[in-house]
Amino acid sequence: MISVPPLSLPQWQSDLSEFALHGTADAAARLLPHLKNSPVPVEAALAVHAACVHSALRSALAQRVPTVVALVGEGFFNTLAESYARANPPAAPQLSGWGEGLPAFIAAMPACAAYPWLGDMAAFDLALDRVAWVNPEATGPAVQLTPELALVASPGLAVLRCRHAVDRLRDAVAEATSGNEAALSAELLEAAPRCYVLWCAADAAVRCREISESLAEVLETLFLSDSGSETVPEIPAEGLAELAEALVSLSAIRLVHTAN
Amino acid sequence: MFSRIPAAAGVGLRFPHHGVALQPTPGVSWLEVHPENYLLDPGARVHLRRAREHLPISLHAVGLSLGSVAGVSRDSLQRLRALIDELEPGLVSDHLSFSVANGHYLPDLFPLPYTEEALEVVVKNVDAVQHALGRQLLIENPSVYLAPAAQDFDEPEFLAALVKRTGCGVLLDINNVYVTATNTGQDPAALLKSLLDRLPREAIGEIHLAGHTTRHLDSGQRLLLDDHGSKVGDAVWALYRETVQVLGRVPTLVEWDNHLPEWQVLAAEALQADAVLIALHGPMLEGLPLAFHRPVPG
Repeated sequence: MISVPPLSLPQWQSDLSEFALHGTADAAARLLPHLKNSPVPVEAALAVHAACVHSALRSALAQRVPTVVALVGEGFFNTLAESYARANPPAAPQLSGWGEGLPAFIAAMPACAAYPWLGDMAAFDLALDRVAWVNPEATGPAVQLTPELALVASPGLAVLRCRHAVDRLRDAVAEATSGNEAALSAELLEAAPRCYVLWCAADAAVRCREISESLAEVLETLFLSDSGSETVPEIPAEGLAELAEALVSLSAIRLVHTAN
Repeated sequence: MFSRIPAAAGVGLRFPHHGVALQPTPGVSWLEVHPENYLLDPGARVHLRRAREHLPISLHAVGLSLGSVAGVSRDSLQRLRALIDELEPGLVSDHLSFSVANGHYLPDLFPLPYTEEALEVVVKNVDAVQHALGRQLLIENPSVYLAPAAQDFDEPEFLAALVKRTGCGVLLDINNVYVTATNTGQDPAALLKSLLDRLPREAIGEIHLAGHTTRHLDSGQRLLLDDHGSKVGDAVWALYRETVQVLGRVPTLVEWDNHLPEWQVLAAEALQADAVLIALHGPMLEGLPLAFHRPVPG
């Protein structure tokens, strides 16, 4: 009789995790001698853990990119999500923040090559999701224009560039889901570069507006650059004019008097 | 000031019920949430703070990975500590399991073999968590599907040793007792009795009730899945009655995570748990310390 050397705890954890995520036969082979059927067959018990992991990860990702799920269907999405999870497993238990690499993953996935708009759609869904979880009572980034006057952005302010009109595509999906399938026309899937600004409004609703490239640059320069400069960045005159118009029409930014 | 969790029934609060949970609901005396759902989301925490104004809250973590040989993430601990400072929950708990290995977090509660090596790891991690949080942690008995061929302890012995060495408490999940016993060929009542015999009564600070699914395998065996997606089963209610007969009043949570029903369904199950507590121990005497609600030994 061949005795099985004891399995160390690090090896147990590594093999169980590897099998659950990747279904690796080698990992299962290393585990099997250390498990007994009692009375559930070992293979069935191992499969429970693999199924649990992927079900939870699919579900977490699906919640973040609902339009992607609606566009490609549950079956394709599940395959996509499992592939993504194997390549980019979460590092932390806060799954509401997991999946940020999905747009790039989609762009590089051969099976998605026929759907060039899918990566953009994922980026749009993720951007909306990020803004949805922003604290509406928080203060957004601000720029002090003068000692008495500041430009203050709404919490969650984000700029997104896409090669497709993903806002219209998303609206069409919602209409199609409500029964108007004609809303999903092929022209919506054609390339049409767009810039968007997203923010969390005071009523906690997520707002999104299409903006010009120049305004996108201004917003990024003023509020979203990493420079951390407290001085007002130089902005081309065209950008300033658009910013002034945006101040009037968008609740995303506002002028605040800061002097006492 | 930490809110005291009453020795009555509560329910697990999930996002779809954030609004309705603010209304007073008969049977629902406290709420429990998974902190991981709120750690990155200040917007969601707004809802939680509102709920906290109405009812005591308990935090039931799923991500500390207390059995992990890699130790507990300092970042996770700091975030949890910050949430505890913000919400002042009455109880904080996590599971006897691991979820982190090979540098990844996988959303499952993987089982530990009950060995001396595993006990050392869990003791070290629980000590670290309790030190970092500055409070006692309750550890939940797991739902087990895999049976290691060689172990140094059985589950009650392992948990009892953990309690003795760390001073942690126990969150006794009755559904997990039933699922584990069935899946590993044990008698659920015998496993429950062994747990109640071996664990100090004062260590059991909370009880969980939940539903499970039965899968009939091609091989003819039954596999129970602890999926928290259905009502508490009759067999689990029977074990619950046995448990509180022995322990007295203990805060009891009805927990759903899948196929979440209407709030009233959760409340009805909480009322049912309260009915068991009242039938066995009379109405809760508001304001008395928990110990007064326990039967006098002997």
